[in-house]
Amino acid sequence: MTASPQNDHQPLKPGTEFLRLEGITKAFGGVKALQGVSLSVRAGEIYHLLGENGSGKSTLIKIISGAQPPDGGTLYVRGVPYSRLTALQSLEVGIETVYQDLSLFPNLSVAENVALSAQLVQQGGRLARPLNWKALRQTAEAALRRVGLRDDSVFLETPVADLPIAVRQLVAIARGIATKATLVIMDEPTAALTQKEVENLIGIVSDLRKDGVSVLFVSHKLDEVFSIGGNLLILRDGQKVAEGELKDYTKSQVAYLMTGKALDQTRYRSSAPQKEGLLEVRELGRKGGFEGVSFALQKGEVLGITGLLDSGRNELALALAGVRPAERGEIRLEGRSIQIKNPSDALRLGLAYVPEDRLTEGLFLQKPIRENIMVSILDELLRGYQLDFAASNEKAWEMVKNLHIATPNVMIPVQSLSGGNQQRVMVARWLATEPKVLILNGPTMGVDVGSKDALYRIIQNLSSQGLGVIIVGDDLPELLQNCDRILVMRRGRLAREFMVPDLSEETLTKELLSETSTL
Amino acid sequence: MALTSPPQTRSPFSVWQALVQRPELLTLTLVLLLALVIGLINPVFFTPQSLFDLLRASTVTGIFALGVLLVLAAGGIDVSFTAIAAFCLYTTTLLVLNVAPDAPFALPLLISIGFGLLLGLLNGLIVHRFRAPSLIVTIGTQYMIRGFLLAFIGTKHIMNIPEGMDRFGRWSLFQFTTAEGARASLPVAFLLLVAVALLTWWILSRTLLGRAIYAVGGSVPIAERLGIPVRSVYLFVFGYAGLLAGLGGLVHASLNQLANPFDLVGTELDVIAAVVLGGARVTGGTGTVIGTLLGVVLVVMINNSLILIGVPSTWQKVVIGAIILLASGVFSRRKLA
Amino acid sequence: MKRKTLWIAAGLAALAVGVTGLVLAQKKYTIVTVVKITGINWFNRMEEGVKEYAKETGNNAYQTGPAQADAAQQLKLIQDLVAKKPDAIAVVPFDPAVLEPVLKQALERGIKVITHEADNQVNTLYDIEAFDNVAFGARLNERLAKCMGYSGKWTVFVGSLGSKTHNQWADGGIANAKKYSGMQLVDAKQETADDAEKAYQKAKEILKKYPDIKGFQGSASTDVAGIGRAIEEAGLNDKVCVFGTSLPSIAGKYIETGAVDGIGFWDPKDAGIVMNKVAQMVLEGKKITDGMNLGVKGYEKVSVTKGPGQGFIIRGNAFVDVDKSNLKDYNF
Repeated sequence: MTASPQNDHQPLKPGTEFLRLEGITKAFGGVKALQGVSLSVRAGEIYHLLGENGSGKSTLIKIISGAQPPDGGTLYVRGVPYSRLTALQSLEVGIETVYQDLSLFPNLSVAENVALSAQLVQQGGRLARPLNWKALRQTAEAALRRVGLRDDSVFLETPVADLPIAVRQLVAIARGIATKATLVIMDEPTAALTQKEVENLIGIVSDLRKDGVSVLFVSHKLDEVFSIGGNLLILRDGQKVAEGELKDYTKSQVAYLMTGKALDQTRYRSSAPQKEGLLEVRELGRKGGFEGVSFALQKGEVLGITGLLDSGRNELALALAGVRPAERGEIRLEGRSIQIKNPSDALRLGLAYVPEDRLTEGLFLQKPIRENIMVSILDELLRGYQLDFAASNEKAWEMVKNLHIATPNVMIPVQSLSGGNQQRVMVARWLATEPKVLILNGPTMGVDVGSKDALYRIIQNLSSQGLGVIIVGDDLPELLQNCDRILVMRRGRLAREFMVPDLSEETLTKELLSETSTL
Repeated sequence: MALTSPPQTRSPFSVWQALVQRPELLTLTLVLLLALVIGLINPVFFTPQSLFDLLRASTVTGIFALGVLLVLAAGGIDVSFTAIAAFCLYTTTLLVLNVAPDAPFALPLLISIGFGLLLGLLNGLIVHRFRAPSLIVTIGTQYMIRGFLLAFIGTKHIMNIPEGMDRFGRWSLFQFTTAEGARASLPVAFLLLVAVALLTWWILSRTLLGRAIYAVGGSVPIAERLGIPVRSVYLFVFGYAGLLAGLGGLVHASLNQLANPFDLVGTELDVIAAVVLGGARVTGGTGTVIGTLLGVVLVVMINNSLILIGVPSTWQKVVIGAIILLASGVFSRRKLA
Repeated sequence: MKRKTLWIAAGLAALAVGVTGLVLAQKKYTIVTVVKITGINWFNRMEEGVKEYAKETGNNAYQTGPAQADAAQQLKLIQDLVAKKPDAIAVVPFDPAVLEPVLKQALERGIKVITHEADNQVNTLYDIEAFDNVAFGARLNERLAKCMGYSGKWTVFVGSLGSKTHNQWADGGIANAKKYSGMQLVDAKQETADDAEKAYQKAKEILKKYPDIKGFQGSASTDVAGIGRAIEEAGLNDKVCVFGTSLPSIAGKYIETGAVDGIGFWDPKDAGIVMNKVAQMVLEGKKITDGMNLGVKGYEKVSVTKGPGQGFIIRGNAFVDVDKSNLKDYNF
């Protein structure tokens, strides 16, 4: 039933059907990921594929992009039926995918990452063909300009490994739109982007739409979904539960359809900080990162630290975690001056850090949940020269239960968990060390509404037990929902301090983007 | 803002920055430094004869290294190429001696690279088919090929190599007489290295295949996702490494005027070290032809100049190890920067 | 020959020797020579010796060996032999350690065990070495010194610094050269990894560093081939002397052109004859003593020393010196 790929992309009239899925099923070892999903994608339309982690979104994307074959059902591309698409076929018929993990080659240059697959597809996947560098550059330049990145030769030749994550995200988007695709799938494209970059992306999407290109978004950020507009597809437990125009739904209806339960959109912060000081930072500095940073954290307080990507907020977090230690200034914990020279210092003293990029900074993806949790407390689990596996099983189970990690057992590899559950394993690891201060960097990046809710409840629960929590990031609603105070950083310095209860998102956004320091 | 700001410049020194971008410059610097040191200790090093000796000694190692470069670039590693080379050189010599001892060099050349290609493809097939780590696979094939050679083909040194090989091995490109009355020459075989280097450069930087090799070396799952035929890439790089092993082996025997089945095996780490010192990473996805050639020159120079600078033979291995460690230390500093 | 008759004959012989002291003429023994590998020139040459011995004595002496150079196959072959129980076996071990158990078993079954090129073998009655390694190295060096006119710079190569025999040869040579005040040793014991190409490269470096070098002594059989090629390319055939351990089949080409002046080795044919003769003597109940003449060239006055086990080591002076004049006499 597999038809030959079509290389000639006749532009479709807006509104004509480009892709139709009928009764797509897929199971993984008995677990039904997709149970007969049917949907239709018309040219020049925008779609939002919504659903909680584990709802089957990723599987559906993989089937459309040819990364995995479906077990049953049919895909129709321009009316031609396929029992499955290979990765090459999918690209050939004009489906481009911006993967959640970005799928960039770290060792290749920006230009190659953006434009190489275009030439490969042009040659039908045959490798024994000359490479057209000129065409490659031109394709790359055009695509980079569209996403608002530089198009000079220095940037074109930079290896992707040398780019910050936000720029990589844009490079991945540039690849998605580099060819005249008919459908661009974007899996959480805004996860690493700042507000301004997101606005730019929204501009790109509406341009694409004008060219008759359809865009399928996978996103968790309902605010964004509604500001972009278009159509809605909601999956729950491998089944389609809603399909229609966004304007016919409210946010809470969507949230309800996704999770099956009504969500509390209000503030999570429940308890108040204790009057007892916990952590104090004085005139902390590190060359190229931040300077003269002073603040205090009370027991049971939740403190937010925000700022733009280059504001120094990440560097400050890494300094507290001992990853890139501070060079100047003093850190006091419970009144005593402490030295944090490396991550194990931080850990030993009771400062736990959950990094932003759990894939590269934190988890051992191929290793089981248990090992990922127990790695931080190996000392404790050591009996003589042997690890006490019974105790580590017990500890891992306790964590899995407390943090509601959805898994049948603690021995399955972390990579087979959904994003939200992976994040919780990461939190579990550091909670296992029974820290005094928990530093969370972008804790819900790439995590769905339901998981966010769960994590926020965990944060609040921990703080009520006297743990000091620092949330670093630029998810403003998240900070506003969870924190007592928010510090805004700018150019490596603390620019402003806000008490949260009387703070609006607008004020905070304005402060974030303002250029002058007021502190 | 991140949207428009350039990728972070991480070091103030533009020289260092250049080294980060072009690792082969670092190798070149090391080569020049080492040459300077050797020449200062023993000025004999600064003679055209030394240059000829260096290029000659680099010929076979260079041919091997270019094959290894492709495998490393694709994220694999090959330690079987020396066994393939020994198999090809010996089997080809025997075959040609028995069938057509007077055939021109082209015949043994074609036979040897043919054998090499087949054995290399076998490596590629196993690595892809069983998704096995290429190190383990090629350790296995190294033993198998060598064992088969010694057990079933022969163990005897063959001094009277076929006429074509003999003539090719003695054929000089340049020749002159030094002041002391000794003759110095550069064999034509060196041109084979030049040709292979040009071909490899062309494949790597001017074809889709070349970019696909680096892509696979960067990440196999991503390459699959983007429709890159990973199997073809594996077959090609291992086949190419095998083919070059066959070529290098035959050139070795021709220059050596001797087909010795015990030769070459054991030198694979020297070759891999050369490629890595030329800027390729063992983890894959990087490496250039010019860097590899410089790495080969570096390793050959270290190996062959210790006598000139008067290092006693008992200390030579220590010194070689120390220089390689030093060089790789410089390289890892570069990566951290 | 039927085993029963053999037994009776052997019993009678022993009785005769013991009681009357008479030696039974033309007693027929079965002596099997086991070599490392069959089909290569070296052991073909040894087989010539074994056959010659069989023809002369009428004993049932023959040679066998694995078709592949492999310790395990040699072991298997000897195990099978032990089961057949010949009178004596003469073994050239591929790996002495591997063979210890089976040779022990053979001795226990009453089979006489003789070895060759295995002076560390424990389970043997006599191990036969063609010569003393140090003396051999000295002899090579003496020829080199003569060629050099007893003066000038010279050097010696080894396959690897870890090779015991190569070092013994080199040390013998170095000690010999000390006798002549004009002989100046430079950059001794460069390693060549038994690779002619490495020997060639090292020789070129030496030539570059010491343009006035006069002599090279090689240890690995490929050393002189590599050195010879470097000398030939440099056009120094008449100016530099090259001697070393090698075989005519490897060094012959360069001996003919004069790039290599001479090589030394031992003749496996003679070693084959000696092994069988010693085996016969043991079977006849004779002891081999220091200074004895075994009736083979180079083994006229052997030295006998205690081995690592119960047995003894017999050393001859079976040097074979080959140069252009007698190259044609050796085909291996």
